[in-house]
Parts: sequence; structure tokens; C-alpha cells
Amino acid sequence: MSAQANSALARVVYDAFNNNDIQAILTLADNDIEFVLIPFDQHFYGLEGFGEFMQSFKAAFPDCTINLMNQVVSDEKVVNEFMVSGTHAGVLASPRGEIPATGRSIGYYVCEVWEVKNGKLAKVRTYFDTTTILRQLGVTPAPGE
Amino acid sequence: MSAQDNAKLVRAIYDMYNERDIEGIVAQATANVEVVSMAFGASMQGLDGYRQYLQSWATAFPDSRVEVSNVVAGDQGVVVEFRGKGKHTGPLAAPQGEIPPTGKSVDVPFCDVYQIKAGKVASLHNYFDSATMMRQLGLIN
Repeated sequence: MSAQANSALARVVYDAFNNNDIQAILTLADNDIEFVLIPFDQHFYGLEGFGEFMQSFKAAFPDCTINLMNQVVSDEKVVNEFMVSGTHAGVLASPRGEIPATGRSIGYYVCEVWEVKNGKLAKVRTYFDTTTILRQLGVTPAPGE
Repeated sequence: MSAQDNAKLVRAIYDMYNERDIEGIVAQATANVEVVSMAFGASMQGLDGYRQYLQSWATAFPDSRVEVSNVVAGDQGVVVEFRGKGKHTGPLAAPQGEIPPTGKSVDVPFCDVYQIKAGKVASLHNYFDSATMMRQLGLIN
């Protein structure tokens, strides 16, 4: 794939996410996709795992949208900086526990590093700051020992 | 600059950090470089800002090392995934104020996004999960 094609692939995927078309995204992903949430060291494997993550995120933030700000592209990879915005209207599941809907709005920055294989999304590593999200939700982490 | 040149420029920055050659790093940046800590919501301007940003990590974690795991290089930008490892033996500048040394060791994944203009660093966006770091420092559960 050319750098240009990788850039276009990412744009198509984020547009589909904004249109709630999870199925369209899955047709653009490799069967053995690995999706990693770096803050939790949480790994989702395959189309099923990747699809479940997206559905669960959409359940927590049904109106959420991704606003792409910057890309760095090479022949095999594309890195995307974007802002996620939405309203916390459903249960947010994380490895550190479930947070019931707060009704609050979020807006935080994400950096996703994609590896592209045969024109499909094969690996994603996602960087963001969970402190920012908890603060926006009005949730205070318990102090350490 | 080619993508390859950009990758070389940026890789050198991580080697220089490990050698504590802060001035060597700052010399790679444009005069009006902008450094943004995405987690802390802090923006630092110019060579002084870049210097303070680098120095603040070196002050909090004097023995810290960066270990690069992946570089994505384009014609105008470079992205570096790396781990920052070190012992917290100096004051750490954080949005809620200075955190006194805890003596704890951290090992945190980071992602840096650079914009390169005419062979120099024009901007840097630094991504990491501050909760991961605060947890390793024993400050939150």
C-alpha cells in the first residue's frame, strides 16, 4: 500500500465510525487484527474482539464522534491524532471497573498507531490519558496507599 | 527532507536524551517550536519551552532512560513509540502542582508525534496515560 492509500483507509474508517457503521469498519480490518488500549494494556483480538470493543464504546458514548487532526503516514503504517467527543449516556466498561452513565460530555485527544497489511487494518495501538477522561466524567480515582 | 532523514533526526533525539545532551536536542528544533503534553494539557513554546520540558523529566527521574520500540516516518512528520523508565527521585512537575520524590520506579509507554520543517523539529505532541504513571508512583489506586 502507498502512504496515500493508508491515509485514505484511516479516513474511511473514522467516517464509518462517525456514521455508526461498525460493519463497514470490520470489512476493512484483517481477520487477525489486534487492537490495544495502551493505558490498560488491554488487547482485543480478531474481528469479534475489535467489533465488541467498538460496540461497547458506542454503548457508553452513543453520540461520540472522531475528529481527525493530523496524520503521519508511511508505506506500512499510518498514525492518526484525533479528538473523541461525546456524551456519557451508557455504562463505560474498563478493566478498572464499570462507570454508570454520568450524562457528562467528554472531549479528549487520542493517538492511534496503525499497521496496515494487504490494504487492511492489522494492528492498532491507542494512546490517551485516562486521568483526563475521569476528570471530565467527574470521577476521582482513589488515593494510593 | 526525506522520511528517512526525518527518522534519523528524531532517533538521534532519544539517544541524546539518554546521554542527557539536552542542548543537543534543543539544537534540532526551530526557534518557535511548540511542545504539547497532551496528558497534562500543557503547551510550551520556543527553545526555552522545549528545554524546560526535557529538563522537567530529567529532574524528576534523574536516571531515566527512553527505549524506542517503533518509528513511523513520513515526509513531514515522525512518530516514535517508546517506554520511559526511571526512578522518581526528584520533584515532578504536574498540573496539580509539584509531586515530591516518591522513590518509586516507573515504566510507562509513550507516543511522540513530531512535525518536521526544513530538517528541524517544529512541534511535538507527547501522549501518555498519566494515571498509569501516578499508579506506579503509588499516588492513586
